[in-house]
Amino acid sequence: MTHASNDNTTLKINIMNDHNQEILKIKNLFVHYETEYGTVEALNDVSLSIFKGKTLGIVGETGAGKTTLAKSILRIIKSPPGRIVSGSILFEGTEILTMSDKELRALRGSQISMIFQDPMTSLNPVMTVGDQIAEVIYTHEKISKKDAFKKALDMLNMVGIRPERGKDYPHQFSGGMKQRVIIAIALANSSKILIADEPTSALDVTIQAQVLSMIVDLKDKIKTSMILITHDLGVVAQTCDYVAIIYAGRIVEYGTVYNIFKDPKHPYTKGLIGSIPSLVYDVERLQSIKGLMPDPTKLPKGCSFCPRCDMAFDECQTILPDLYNIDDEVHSARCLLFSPERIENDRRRNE
Amino acid sequence: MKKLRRIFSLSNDEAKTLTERTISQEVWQRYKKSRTGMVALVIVLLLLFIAISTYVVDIVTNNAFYDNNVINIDLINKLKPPSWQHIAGNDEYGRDILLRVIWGTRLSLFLGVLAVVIALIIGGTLGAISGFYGKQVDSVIMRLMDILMGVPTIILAIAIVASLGVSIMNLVIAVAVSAVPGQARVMRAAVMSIRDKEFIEAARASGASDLRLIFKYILPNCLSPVIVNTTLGVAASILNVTSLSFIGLGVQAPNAEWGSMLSAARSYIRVSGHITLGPGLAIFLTIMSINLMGDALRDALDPRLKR
Amino acid sequence: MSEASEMNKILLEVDHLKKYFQVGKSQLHAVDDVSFTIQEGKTLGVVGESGCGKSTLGRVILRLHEPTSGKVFFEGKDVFAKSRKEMKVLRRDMQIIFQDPFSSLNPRMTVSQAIIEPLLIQKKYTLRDKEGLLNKVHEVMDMVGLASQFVNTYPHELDGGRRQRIGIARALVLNPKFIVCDEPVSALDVSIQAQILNLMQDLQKALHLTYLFITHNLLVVKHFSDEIAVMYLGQIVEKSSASGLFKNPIHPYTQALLSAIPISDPEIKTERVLLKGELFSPIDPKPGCRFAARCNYAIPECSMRNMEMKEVEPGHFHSCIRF
Repeated sequence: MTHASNDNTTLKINIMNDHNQEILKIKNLFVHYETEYGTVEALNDVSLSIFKGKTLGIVGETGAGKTTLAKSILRIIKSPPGRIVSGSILFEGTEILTMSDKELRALRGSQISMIFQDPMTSLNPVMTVGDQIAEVIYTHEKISKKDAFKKALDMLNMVGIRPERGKDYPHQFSGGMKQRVIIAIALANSSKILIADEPTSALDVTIQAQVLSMIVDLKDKIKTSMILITHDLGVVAQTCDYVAIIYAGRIVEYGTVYNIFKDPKHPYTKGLIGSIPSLVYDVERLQSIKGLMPDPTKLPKGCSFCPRCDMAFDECQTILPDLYNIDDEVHSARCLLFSPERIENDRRRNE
Repeated sequence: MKKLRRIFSLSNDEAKTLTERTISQEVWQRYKKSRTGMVALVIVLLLLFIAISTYVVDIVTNNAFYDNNVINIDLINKLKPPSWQHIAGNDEYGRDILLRVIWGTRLSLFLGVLAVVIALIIGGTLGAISGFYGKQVDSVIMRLMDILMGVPTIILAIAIVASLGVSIMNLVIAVAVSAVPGQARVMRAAVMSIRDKEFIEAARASGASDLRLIFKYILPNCLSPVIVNTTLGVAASILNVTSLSFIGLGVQAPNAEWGSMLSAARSYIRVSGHITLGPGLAIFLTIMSINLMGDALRDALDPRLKR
Repeated sequence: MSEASEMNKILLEVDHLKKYFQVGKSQLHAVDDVSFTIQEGKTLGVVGESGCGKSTLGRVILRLHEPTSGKVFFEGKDVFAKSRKEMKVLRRDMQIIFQDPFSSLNPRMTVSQAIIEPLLIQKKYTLRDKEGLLNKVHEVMDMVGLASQFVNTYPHELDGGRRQRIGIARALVLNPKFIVCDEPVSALDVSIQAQILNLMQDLQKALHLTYLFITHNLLVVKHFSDEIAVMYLGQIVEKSSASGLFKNPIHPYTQALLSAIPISDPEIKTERVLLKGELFSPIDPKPGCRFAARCNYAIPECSMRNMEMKEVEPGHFHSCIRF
């Protein structure tokens, strides 16, 4: 029922190809919220790249900043209290953060689309699903409403729903089917990037399997890049090419999906992977990470994960680590254990 | 700030001490932020103070002040416009309007509050029973409430007063009865939203009786919508009291009451319009403040409800 | 052939339990003829997707809902035959932990108030016995890993993990023998899940607790349970030891369920058994296997007669006629 599939040389070549086809580049992004409790530092110094046709998984727990990141790309952060403090988001070379409203409207739903977690509330209850898909089509394309509706029915077919159901209303569909409709709306304009924020968390596991499999097929067919935000490591392992682990507003580890799962470096990543029971072998006790994520209005000096980390040492409390490269060019971890100085010291010590 | 720290918490986990804040304190903190809410609160407290002090004055002067200045007849000053001695002017009997407005405060305020409290007790109980037990009990009680609501307040009041006689107590009963369905509905909705929550099931799983569930678990959690509705209900009640007095069904002469003052002023409006200002402004100010207070209260209570 | 162990006494026996709800003119078959036993000190995991009836099952066993038919025996005694008074006493032995750490706690009660509440309801203590109560509170908070400084905090001031610990503390304070755990970690972050699961495991060993562990998360149920029952639309379709179920799933639904779990290993790409159609509500179900409509192995006979559980290896039961 299962088979292994990987080939190291092919992988290296693929990575190099990917780097030539960067479609979205986030650089040094800082996003804060001003609340009555203080400034919530939702994102600090986040840099990521999305490659054409590839999927980036963003993994994090509640409050880590994943949804803020997704919303920043489309600039749908509520402002106030949200504020994009600094940084840059380049889509095919154009700076999103300085786009006008008109340019943003042309971007959203057509070049970059987003789907949200809860299928129950994402659809307009008083419009038929066919109309909702058609609407997003003729908003961006200069075609007649009739033609747009025809295209909408094609989309329904593509997501595995009989086109006759285009005249039905959202409440006539189940959760899994609603999510398919939402995906149809998102991909109706053959977006270059699809941002999916926990697209299957609200669905049952067998439905989740269906929907994920459909998303992957569609994505390959239309050659869409995808940013998949989730807390479910299993989903990431099965669908993503690259993975970024986000903790307390910062990327703490980044690499290919093989880097992260086969060779996790950051203590938080290791802790997360260890927290999940394995399908293959049994453990007596699960590995748990003590403590809680820090208060985003009062982030500690130095490494944010330090208070919960088993491998912490003195400098961790005062020095904020950079994302240091591990081995190759792609895999990096924000941990002082991998700082060049420390690696150098260890090397010298071993000689 | 402390709340967020607790939610996301704590670098030195167990070592930090937390300051506890009760829910009421948090609500008060949030209420304070609303400027209109604070101004409204001040005005309402002022009105309360005025109402209470009229009682004090009466007791101290043994009603002498009242007899001489509020219900005396002094035809020399009949319908005089505002002057230094009588800041709001004089009414058709020469009485000082300002003093009458001040004395009228206690009747309007207390009657309004009393009516709403009675409505809350009766309507709240009915609504709680209706919401908790549901099914047939719910249907019967709610249909009764619907019937009651179908009758306009004034007609209902006229009917009650006509059958029971004109008196202050009957006035209160009339206003209370018309407010009962509103209170019942709000309580019922609140109870129904809490009734199926898991902490109620948890209490049942420990063996809690229905009575304990209603009084210790459900009612305390229904306070927010009920308080807001009651506050706004006071305003409506006061308006009803004044309206009924206006048409002659409530407070009788020579008692000072804003509605009856306005009623009496009707005949003289074209000649001496100033005599409507006093009671009119008083009604406006009172209703407005109570409504604004209710709004601010609802906003202060709401964020907690979302959690 | 039962395992030779010192503690193989059966604590809970569920016998042809049914719970139907009236929906308009139809009957919703939430729990439809479920039978199983749980040994003292063991954990039975009940796993299934939404609408399978697992939550209702837990609640009916605790008699939070009255059953439509069937029996539940706790330590040999018929639970549904007990009077209200007797039931109240029995409740000391059977408790429940809920899924949602937000709605399972009374927002107007502090941590200590929530914990002593069962004691007051059961009249084991009165409010006058302040010292006794406080001792009990600290004892239980210590057991669940809640720092004592939280004694007077309100639930809304705490995070999900801590709130769940309060829920566990409340369930433990009466010294129960049996606890129904209704998705106790599903609403928590992954790293907190592990903390709570470890805690529940430790408590089971220390206090010799018996669990009915209800969840939709297959990986968690595998780790946590001794035996697992798979439910679909109100019926148990397969029951086995935890390891047995995962090594050798027989019923097509179990197979589909297991293959649907995304594995945290990018090198292993599972070939998912993709099911046709969607789950539907078990309202007035037709006779025959309820899974037939979605099953890739279905034959006409599947829809004709009702399914029965048969034992294929010691301790491994399932209800499919094709295997």
